[in-house]
Amino acid sequence: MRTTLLAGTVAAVLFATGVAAQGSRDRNAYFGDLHVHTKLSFDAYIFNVRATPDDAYRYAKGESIHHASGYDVRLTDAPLDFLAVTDHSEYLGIIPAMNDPKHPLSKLPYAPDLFSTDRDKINAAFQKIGASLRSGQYLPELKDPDTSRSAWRTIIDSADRNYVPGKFTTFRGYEYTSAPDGQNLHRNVIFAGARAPDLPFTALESQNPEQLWRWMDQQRKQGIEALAIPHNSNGSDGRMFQRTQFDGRPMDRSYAELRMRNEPLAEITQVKGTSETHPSLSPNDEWSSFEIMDTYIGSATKVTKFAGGYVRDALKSGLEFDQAQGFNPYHFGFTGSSDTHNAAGSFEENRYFSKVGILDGKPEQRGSVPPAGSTWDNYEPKNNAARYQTWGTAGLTGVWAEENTRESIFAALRRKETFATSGTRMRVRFFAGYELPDGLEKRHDMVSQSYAHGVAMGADLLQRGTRAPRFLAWALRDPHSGWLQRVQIVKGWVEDGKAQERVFDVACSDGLTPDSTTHRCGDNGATVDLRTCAVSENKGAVELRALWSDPTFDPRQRAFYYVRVLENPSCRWSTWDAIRAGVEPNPKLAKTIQERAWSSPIWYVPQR
Amino acid sequence: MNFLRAAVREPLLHFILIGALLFAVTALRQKHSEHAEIRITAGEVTQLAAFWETQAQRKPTAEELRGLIEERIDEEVLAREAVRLGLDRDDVIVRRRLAQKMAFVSDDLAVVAEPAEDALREYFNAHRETYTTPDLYALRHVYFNPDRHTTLDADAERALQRLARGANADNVGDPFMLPRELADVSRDDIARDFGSSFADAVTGSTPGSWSGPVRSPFGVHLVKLESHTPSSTANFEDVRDQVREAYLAEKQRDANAALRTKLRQQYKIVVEPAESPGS
Repeated sequence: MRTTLLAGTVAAVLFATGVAAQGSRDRNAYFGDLHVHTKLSFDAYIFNVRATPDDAYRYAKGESIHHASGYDVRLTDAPLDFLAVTDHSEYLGIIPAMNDPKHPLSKLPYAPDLFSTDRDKINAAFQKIGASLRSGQYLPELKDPDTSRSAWRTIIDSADRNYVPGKFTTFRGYEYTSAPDGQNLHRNVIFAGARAPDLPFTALESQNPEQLWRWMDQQRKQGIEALAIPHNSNGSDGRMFQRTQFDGRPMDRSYAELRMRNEPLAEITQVKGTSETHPSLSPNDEWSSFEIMDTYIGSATKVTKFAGGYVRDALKSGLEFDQAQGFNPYHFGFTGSSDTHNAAGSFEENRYFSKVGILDGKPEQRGSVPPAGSTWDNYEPKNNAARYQTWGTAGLTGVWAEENTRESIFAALRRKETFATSGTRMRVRFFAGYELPDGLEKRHDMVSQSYAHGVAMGADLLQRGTRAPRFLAWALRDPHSGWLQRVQIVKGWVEDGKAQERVFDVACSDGLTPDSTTHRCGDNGATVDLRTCAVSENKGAVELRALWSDPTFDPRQRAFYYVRVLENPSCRWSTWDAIRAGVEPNPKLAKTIQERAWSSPIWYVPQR
Repeated sequence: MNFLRAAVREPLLHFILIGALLFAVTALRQKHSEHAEIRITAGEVTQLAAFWETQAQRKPTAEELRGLIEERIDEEVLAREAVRLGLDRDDVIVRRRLAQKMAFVSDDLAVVAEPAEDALREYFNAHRETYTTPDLYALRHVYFNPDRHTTLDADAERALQRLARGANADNVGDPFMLPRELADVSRDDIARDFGSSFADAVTGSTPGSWSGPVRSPFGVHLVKLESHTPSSTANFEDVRDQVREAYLAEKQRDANAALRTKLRQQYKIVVEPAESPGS
């Protein structure tokens, strides 16, 4: 395992040097969405979404497209750099065919049921297919490989047609929709290049993700490279990152290698909540309650088991496995995405349009404005609105890549040189090394020095002697969003066989410095006017940077470190909705949030 | 069995009814014989059984299947009587579904012919802006962080003088995470990363010399426009395929709209004013 990782790192470095001549040697940040559904997904079509993969790419490139609720949506501040349409592979293209009178599937007696404009009927129809996905059993009358193949062809052709090397990158991809007993094990499969299988491997073939990875291994042997990105671990009830294999057998080295060969990344945030950590798992992290979704996916069933459902916890159990048994099944980096079912991610708090077509396209449907005739005093959200109101704006994936091409961005995903954001485009750099020079954080050639003398986010730093390594953490604000409040380093480590965690503030805005005992910045006094959502103009920083050493470093302790950057507080989407409607914000919801970014971790690896 | 209860409570029943109504609409268009035939085909029986199976999770017995068929016949009879009595009118779901079906059919009726070369050229000329690359710029800039300078503008002015005297720009200003040199970028590319006012100031400056300070959401910058390549339009031959695709898509839209207009002409359309406008 360790040799594999080393070899991977060496290969990544060689690769980087190889292409440096064409692209940027210091690498650029590109922002994209690797989780987008169109009308070809069974659920999106039922939600009245009619936008196509081409529409999804048009939206990403900055054009406006139509929303099922009757208005147009557009990325106002900036287009995206890359995008993958990832429709559900289960019943791919089947539902649109059922609505085509010329297609035999439209003759199914319950076909009209699916195309109602009545929300209750839509939900009932959705649940029918949801039940099939929970059981893993095909609805036999809906099995039609030719129709699915043709939809898959549409997705592939659209990705290839919309790819503009150097300007805008597309990936062929799909979502593997496994949810045994409703416990969410969904993955997005992203293909590296212009080769893809005849049909995707679906959860109706097997709900066991190990079978997906074996299939990906087989594809790889035929020259079809791909990686899988699990998402909504928060809705898995502790199953996504459990401490056993799918069937309950203990983890072993070959399982860990199979998993990490195919899943180098995990989606940390999206509309259906953030899966970084949960307050019950991180009681000493004051920022752990960010956009928490505590139900299963597509139902009101409450999650009862948080361990195994959040990425920080998974990274910690990975350290424990590595310490005790010499392999790590959770050695992954981070992405953020939308999971939009509108073919259009809703990234901006002040222009939020949520995720599921006509079900939540209006404020009254998502709990931010009370329905006509009621007030917050007597407001009882129905099941769905109760869930939609806990959803957040879409996340984004940032990658550090030489140029905006499939090869360059996929290589960045592979080596985990990625970061995730809650939807803003702040940029984050993170390096570690023993030879990072004094005063590095003040130098113009900070980045090239860091690449030359250290490792970047996503990599391993091997022990060298007993010295503490240095870390360079650097964040730049999104010019279209708020100012930065603090940069933090989240550390996990193993002590006496048990994983621990701690959050260190390493750079503060407004001339403040982290307290040497609490490792916290003082209050910078940034405020939000809840009547207008105006924020204090003179608080926060344009950029923050720090050259940091871990004051608790112990060379014998296996550890990971990742950066978290926080903006000043700003209005949550639900507050913006309420202000526009001239009502009070829903008292049950957070009125403000702190937008944020997370770098992929760097692992410190002690010698055995 | 939750499944069965759900199946009964589900909108299934009345949706099958609606489906049957639609069937009946077509049936009524044919000449009505003395005793109209109701025929349940073998394929339909298989579908009834398959649907039952997905709900109940087992195959129906022979008796259950007979029951399903009887139910189906009753539906058919009721549906046809409902249509005969005009119950399908004023039903929004029936109407919407019919309109949807008609739209599918009409979109197929309007087949667009392969365009002549002249027509494509004409289309290209009328949409030249689509095939035109924007003005492209190359520039350098140095950055001053407002959090690190108490005399921000004065510091920038002093640096401008040094640059004018030929100082190496690599060592001027503060470290910055975005590239200090940009090439082949449009005004919009600059605006997305540096904001609109910065983009306007840079693209409006004279090439070849340092100027500023220019403000951005990050602080202030000194800028030097290295080059400006005016916009240019592609040759028709190079983009012919794209032009053809766009042309066909537009003609298809036009044909569909024309068909709707033609259909409208067969009706006298009256929209009554709302009782209290704007309410």
